[in-house]
Amino acid sequence: MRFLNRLLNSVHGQHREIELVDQGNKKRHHLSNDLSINRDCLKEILKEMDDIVYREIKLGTREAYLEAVLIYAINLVDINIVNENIIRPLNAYYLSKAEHSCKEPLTEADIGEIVNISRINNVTSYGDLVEGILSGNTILLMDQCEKALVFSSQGRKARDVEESSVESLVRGPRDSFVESIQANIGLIRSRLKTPSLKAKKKIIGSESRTTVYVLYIDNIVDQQLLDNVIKKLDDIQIDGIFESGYLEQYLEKSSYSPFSQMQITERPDKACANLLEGRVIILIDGNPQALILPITFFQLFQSPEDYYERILFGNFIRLLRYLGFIIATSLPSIYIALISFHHEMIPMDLMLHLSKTRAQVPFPPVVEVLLMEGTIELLREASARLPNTIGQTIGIVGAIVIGDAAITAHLASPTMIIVVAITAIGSYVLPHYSTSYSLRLIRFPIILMAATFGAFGIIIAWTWIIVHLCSLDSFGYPYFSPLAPFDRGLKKDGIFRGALWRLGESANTANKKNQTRWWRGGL
Amino acid sequence: MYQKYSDGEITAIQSFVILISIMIGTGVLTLARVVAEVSRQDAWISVILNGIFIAFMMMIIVYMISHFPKHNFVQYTSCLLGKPLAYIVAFSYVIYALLVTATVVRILSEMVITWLLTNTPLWIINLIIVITIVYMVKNGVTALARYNEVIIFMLIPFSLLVLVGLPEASIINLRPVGGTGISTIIKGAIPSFFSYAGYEVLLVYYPYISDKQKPIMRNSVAAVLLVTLFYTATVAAQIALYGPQEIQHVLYPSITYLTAVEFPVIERMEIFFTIFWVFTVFGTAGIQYLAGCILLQNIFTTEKIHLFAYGLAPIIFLITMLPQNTREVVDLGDKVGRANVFFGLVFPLAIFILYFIRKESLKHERNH
Repeated sequence: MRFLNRLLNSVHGQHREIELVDQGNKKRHHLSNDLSINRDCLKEILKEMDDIVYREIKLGTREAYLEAVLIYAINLVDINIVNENIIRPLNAYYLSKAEHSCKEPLTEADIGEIVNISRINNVTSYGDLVEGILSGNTILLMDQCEKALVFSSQGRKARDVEESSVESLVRGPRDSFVESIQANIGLIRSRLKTPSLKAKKKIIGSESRTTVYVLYIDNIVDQQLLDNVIKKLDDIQIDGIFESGYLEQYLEKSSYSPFSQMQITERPDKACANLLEGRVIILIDGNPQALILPITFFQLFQSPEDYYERILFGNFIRLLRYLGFIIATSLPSIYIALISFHHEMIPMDLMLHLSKTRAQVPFPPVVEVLLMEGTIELLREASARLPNTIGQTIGIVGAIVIGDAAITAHLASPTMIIVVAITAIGSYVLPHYSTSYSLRLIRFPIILMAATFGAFGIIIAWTWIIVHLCSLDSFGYPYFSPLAPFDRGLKKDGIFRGALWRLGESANTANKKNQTRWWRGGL
Repeated sequence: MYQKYSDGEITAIQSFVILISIMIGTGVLTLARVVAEVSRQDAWISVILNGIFIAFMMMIIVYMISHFPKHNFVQYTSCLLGKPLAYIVAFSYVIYALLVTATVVRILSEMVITWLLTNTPLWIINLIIVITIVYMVKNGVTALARYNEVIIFMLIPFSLLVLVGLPEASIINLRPVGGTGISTIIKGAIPSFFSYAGYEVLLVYYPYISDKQKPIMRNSVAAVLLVTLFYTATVAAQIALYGPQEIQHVLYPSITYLTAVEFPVIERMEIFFTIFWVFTVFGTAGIQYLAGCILLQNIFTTEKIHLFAYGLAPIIFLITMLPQNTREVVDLGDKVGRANVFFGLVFPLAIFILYFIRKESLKHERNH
């Protein structure tokens, strides 16, 4: 917008006729009465932009017509809409009226009746005009008119709704969010057909002008939370946002924590379930991930499938994920502590085997662990960036060849390989890929503490982590809830989940806000 | 619910958890020995007696303090004792809290050196424990209470370890029940008193409970009785295993007890015990330390609790380095235990009596 103001000022110098209306402190350049001036100004603002089309058009009858120009960005509009619904009706009108004696140019109201466009707006300033063009609308400028008509004609190429590749489920709906925000809101609205589902629009980014929608259900959501989120969104000063992660960093309180205080999802069913629990969903245009907030630590272990599958199985899976979490963070450090400090804790027979295999390895356990963990991290990063087919090959090369070779070369003991492999698998159990980043990050400090202080080091490291989790909050909600602070009502769902009909029952006594459902996750 | 867990407040459940966490601390290691030295096979009766007594003390404390729901420690002691005396008591409580913290830290590091890290220098272990406790305390009472809630869940497997020695134990060691005579049993209650030390922190933490309409009295007494149950089971199981004679020669009965049984996969069960125990001792030390910091905050009427948490840490560290050997650590523990008699017994009783004497005039003051 700074750029725009500068340009307009220079244009203003050339065309003295342009009125400059000062509204309070906000300078706004208004359209002039003269079409040629408007067009030239616009061409000056949008100079060196060859993808903008200026289509001259005549409005009215052959004898009496109004000069007009249609302006649109050829790559942002659906050209069929422009051709069929705007240009064709206008031309047809012009031709059909040619024989008759009516000698009136068309007025603004007439246009609305002629073109077949669902949404038509009036704008009077250059700023709105330019934003309209760059959002994929078609603009109609007319002579003798200080207003421009904005026909909505967006036709950006969007991906079809497909199955999510990062959050795929065995049981559950297959659709996932796409890059188009309209489609995403549609996916949510089609699941929640209630007028209480509100969608607040915000424009963020001084240059990117990205549309951001804040979704909530107004009779369930905590009003204070909502005000907090809206205020924080309004305060964001940034030139452009392209991914939900940008917003995440602006919204969260503890950016340096390894644990994310918001969750992203590609699944509309998950977004809807969270809306019903009183959470807020933020959708960003051009981004298939929705932000969920606030969240708790235990939500990182939840997957929609827990609720779709049978109760016992759902809880078994959760238990498995907690186990995976502990393994992924602490198994290598427990190995180090046992081997280097507390070998008396290992049963005798096992110890004999271990010492036999370890005798040929020239490194202390911590070097061995860091070597293999480093390799795994490299492999993981390499295969994540490569195309699928090559990625798998790299995985096999890494797992089999390097692992086997490391043992034969006596760089690592076989037990060590098992430990590292189980650790890597453990971190994949978690349903969200970004959660595994936090695990990988906190694993290394624990390894170093275990190498220095043995089991005591692990205890110290875990005390730090627990204290950190206890002091963390997500938008004012305690992060480690419902464990600490302990919440009796939430034990039915949170760490484990009870039967859905039982969870609904408890809602009637505990939370008056949503009588049918408040339970999942812990708010 | 958005405001329910605001910083600087704890819930009624958290106050219950804090009480349990602070009582189960360093005392549990030697409890069976020190009590059995006096009341022999009836040591477990002494523990129960003492538990009932502590529960009674708890009722006094909660009853008295519940009449000052909006006052902090310094404010209500000034109401009862007058300002100068209140400040003296508050300051001496701060010193007492620091001494207890330092003693607990030192006992913890002694244990770590004995069981986990035999070659590491003492000061490094002390330092790392003090750093951890400061990190725990600097975010104030809410975060600390939550930490204790987490470790209370760890205490459940910890308490199940009481059962491991039962196959080896024989009930005959506990007989004849009551055979030592009532006066011996009551005498035995005195050494067990120190294992409950710390319950008086409720005097400091009560004002920070956000939902005082909950039955705090019932919760607090339940906390004491729960700890009593755990202690009684521990003492009875250990005496049943060792016999009243032998146990007097075991330095740390709670740890040695676990070596009595062999487990199929894990050898050295007592190290597991030590690992769980370290978490609870961190809780104990953190609660005591924060009590000192909160009192200083009350005295100087400031918001910044983390300044005290950082500022007092070097003092704690220095005190932990003072005793030269384990014997001096035990002596320090005994001296601090004597101070506990004042803050756990004399002081609550004194202000309880004062409350009754000054009840009418206090009502009068409050009306103005």
